[in-house]
Amino acid sequence: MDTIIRNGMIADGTGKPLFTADIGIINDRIVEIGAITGQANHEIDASGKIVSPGFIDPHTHFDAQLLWDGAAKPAIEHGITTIVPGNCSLSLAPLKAEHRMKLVGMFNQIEEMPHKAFSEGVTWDWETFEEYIERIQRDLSINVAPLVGHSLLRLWVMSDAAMSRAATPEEISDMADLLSRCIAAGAVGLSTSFVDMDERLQPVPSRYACTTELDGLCKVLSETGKLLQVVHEFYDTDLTLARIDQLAELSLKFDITTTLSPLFLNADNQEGVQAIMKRVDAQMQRGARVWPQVQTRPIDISFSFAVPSLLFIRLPSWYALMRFSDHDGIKAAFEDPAKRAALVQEASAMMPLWSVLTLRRVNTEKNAHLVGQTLAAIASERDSNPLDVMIDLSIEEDLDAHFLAASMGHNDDLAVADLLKQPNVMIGASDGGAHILSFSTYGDTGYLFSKFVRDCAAMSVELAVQKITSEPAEIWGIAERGQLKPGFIADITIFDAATIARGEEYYVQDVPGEGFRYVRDAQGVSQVLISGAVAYDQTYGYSEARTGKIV
Amino acid sequence: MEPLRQSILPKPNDTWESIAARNLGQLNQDVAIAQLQSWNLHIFARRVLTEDGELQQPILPSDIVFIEPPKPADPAD
Amino acid sequence: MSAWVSDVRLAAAHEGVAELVVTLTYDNGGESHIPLAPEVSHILMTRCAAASAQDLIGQSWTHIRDALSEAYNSEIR
Repeated sequence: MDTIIRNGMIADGTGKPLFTADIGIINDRIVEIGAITGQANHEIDASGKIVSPGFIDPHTHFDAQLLWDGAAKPAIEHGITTIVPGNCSLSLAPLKAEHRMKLVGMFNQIEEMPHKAFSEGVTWDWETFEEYIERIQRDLSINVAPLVGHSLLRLWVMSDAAMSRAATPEEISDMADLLSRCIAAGAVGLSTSFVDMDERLQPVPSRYACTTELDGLCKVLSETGKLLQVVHEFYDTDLTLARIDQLAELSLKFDITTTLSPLFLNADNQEGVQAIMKRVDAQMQRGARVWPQVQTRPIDISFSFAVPSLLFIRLPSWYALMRFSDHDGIKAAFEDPAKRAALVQEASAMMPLWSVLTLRRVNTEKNAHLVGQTLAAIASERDSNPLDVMIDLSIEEDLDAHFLAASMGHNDDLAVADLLKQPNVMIGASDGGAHILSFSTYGDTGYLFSKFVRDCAAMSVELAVQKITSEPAEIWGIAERGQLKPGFIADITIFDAATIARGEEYYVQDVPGEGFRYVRDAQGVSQVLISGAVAYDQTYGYSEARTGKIV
Repeated sequence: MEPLRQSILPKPNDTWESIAARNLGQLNQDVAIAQLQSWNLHIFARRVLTEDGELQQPILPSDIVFIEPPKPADPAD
Repeated sequence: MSAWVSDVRLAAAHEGVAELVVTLTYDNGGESHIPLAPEVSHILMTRCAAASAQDLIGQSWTHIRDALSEAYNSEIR
């Protein structure tokens, strides 16, 4: 044996109850599960730990990061062994040289990937999908199941006309041929968008596609057994219901699997989500395959006084100040005793909110130690009150103090747990690698276990593992992964069920072009194996293994 | 399955006028267009001016266009 | 007036900012909830001469349509 993982509690991905066993690995495959008597070159003691298949993240935007970081950090340390990039109609190939800056603009507008990350982190040495796959394979630690973006197919075939009109029959045929070539090179499906806008706030190219075009592309997916991902008008229940019906018809007509993302559950749309799931269930009952993706993490709101936030729209004086004053005007009002007193008086009715805000980011050295604390805690330290602390910190930081209101949406834990557990819900929509300047899109898997398995006791560890391993593997057609089973690829995550968590969010400068992003370091994940090699170890960090595959 | 709320996917070059004529032909055109627009505000959440300031067609081929208002809540639900 | 603002509330947008969600009630009693990005909300507030979000209640749907159009088609963009 090359590797034996000893005495772990096996969550094999199928939902079967935990059992204690050893796992034997030769090369990249699991060869035995049970009581293994022999020795191996490398032995891992998993006593007291859960041993599960590697997690699959079906909704990411790591397309660019994979060009400078083949581990898609910090995805692997959160237990993820396979990622699906290329969602929402946007991939990085196929892409002709003349459209590179257009695509950078779209990634910047939609996914908040900085321009400088592309200009300093990317060597543009590919055009076709095959060339892009060859390019990222050179240094791959994580498995990649790439989607090809519909907007990219349109740009390649139609050039600038992709951004203004429906395609001709010849162009649809050319796009279908191109999609076939991308699938032959490793694409697991097609992504499209009904909602996104480009850097000019005009609809992305995929939104100019008529039903004939979508049919032509779905025919290719049908012939190759691949999947269609869409981002729909997730903010509106009736539009979501109509898209579910549209996808169901496509699924039945072409015998394809479809998935739409994201679906959020907020306090005031619970009836809407119930209606959506009722419709999904009914369509699934008919034989259609329409999988809504639901994320585990709640939605936070962040703000500073440098940009007017709608958090203050119920407070006329604050709203008027932020809307109609410039930087100096806002600071002057905060520093004027009479104006400040009036502002504090008006906002005091919302004191419960100000108390739970946390200080998220500052620029000065003297306040750096306060980052991560609630305004209530800082107020206690300063012998002040949260509202005055918010104003004082904003003055001290020249209005560049950033505050966070955590868990403001998708935050009813028990209701979200009920949704995540539903058999027709796919856990996903993490957006890993996107929105990097706004919030951390990493750690949703740890949060699944810490919040819904441990804190809420709303689902078993076996079910949670199943929902992010065998279930997505089956939906996405990822063969020989997603279960612990002799003969399957040894993508394995070992974690402590008592401590696994997403870790605290922090701001770090690790993006090419001296760029920043929000990340979270995993907690409670001991080792992650990809194709039998240790890719991450809690003690030693990331290894030099480059065993990631295009799957 | 019967749709929960009546909608269409636009035909090539559809406009508010053509959809109103086809789907709400019993109404005065101005009234029909106003009703369509009030049911489909999502179609206004986008830029429809070109760089040269020209007006583009606001309705896209991939849009869902509702041809009736939202249904009132069913007390039985 | 075929639809009017019957409620307003704040919500957490997918992008991690606060957004304004306006409830429109139609003549038939049906409702729709329109999320408005900060820039659209600011324009809507100005168009309706609203000092606070509550002042939007009772306003016509046409203000929302026009605020969306103005926000997305502004010269500044």
